[in-house]
Amino acid sequence: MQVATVLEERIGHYSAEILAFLRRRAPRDAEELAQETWLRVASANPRCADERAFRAYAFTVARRLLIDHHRRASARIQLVGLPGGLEPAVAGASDPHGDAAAAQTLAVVEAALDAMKPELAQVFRWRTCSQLSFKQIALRQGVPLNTALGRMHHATRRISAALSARGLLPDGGPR
Amino acid sequence: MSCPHAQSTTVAWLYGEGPEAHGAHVASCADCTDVLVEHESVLAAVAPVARQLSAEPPRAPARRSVLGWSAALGLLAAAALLFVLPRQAPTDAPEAVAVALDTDAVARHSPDLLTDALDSDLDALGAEVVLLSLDLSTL
Repeated sequence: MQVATVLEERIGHYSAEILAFLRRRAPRDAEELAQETWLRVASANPRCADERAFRAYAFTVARRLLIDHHRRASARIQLVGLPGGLEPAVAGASDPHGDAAAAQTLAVVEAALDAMKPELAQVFRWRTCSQLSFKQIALRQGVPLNTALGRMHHATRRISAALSARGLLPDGGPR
Repeated sequence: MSCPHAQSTTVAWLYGEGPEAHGAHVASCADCTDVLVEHESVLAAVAPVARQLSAEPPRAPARRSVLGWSAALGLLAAAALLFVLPRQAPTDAPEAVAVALDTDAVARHSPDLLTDALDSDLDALGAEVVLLSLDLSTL
């Protein structure tokens, strides 16, 4: 069946990348998590329009499994919801280009957050920095859950536009 | 974007808080997949610098003041005069001198003060400082 072949090809194309992503964040359980990722992706059989969308979908599934994995391990993990994770910098390694890009990204993100309505920026900051759940954020802001989710979406869209305008937006999905 | 879930349940699912079964919907919905791609891109870009982002904004969000630069400089210059010019003992003793506000004079000196919409906290201060700079005998 042609659809299954396309899915299999895509899985084959991204399996190493997904495994590497999981190994950086859950070294002992990476293979099991990767297997589970592809089982779920195959089960959903996403009809993604292009490779970028499929890659983003696969990484989201992997990241969700990672979040559940860390929750089960009862570890207090900061930034587990983000692709970058918490790996410390390798001692002695430096990446001047990467540092400059990171500094520029931070400046653009901060500027975008400052420019948007405070309630939007606040949701993004809380979700990104303190890992509050959206329910907790909604409670703090005194709004319904869907409002908090919508604010996160709009804040993200604006940051996406700002980063894209500066050529700082990578393809969908983590590295 | 017509899918009712795109800005709500899909966002929650994306961040690990929505129902697992929603993944099947995302997989088959173009709107939700677009949302997913956009959020994943931003997450990938922000992740390396997320630790440097603060959970609170650098300054408290305040009403945007549209005090013009010229007015701001005028305020600073007038305030500086208070410290530079020697004070003269008033021949009449009252501690406080009531001075009529010559709005035309203020407008000529710093037109932006009266034409801009001033933050209410700066209204009285701005006018008073400009007055002091215009009428040195009050010092």
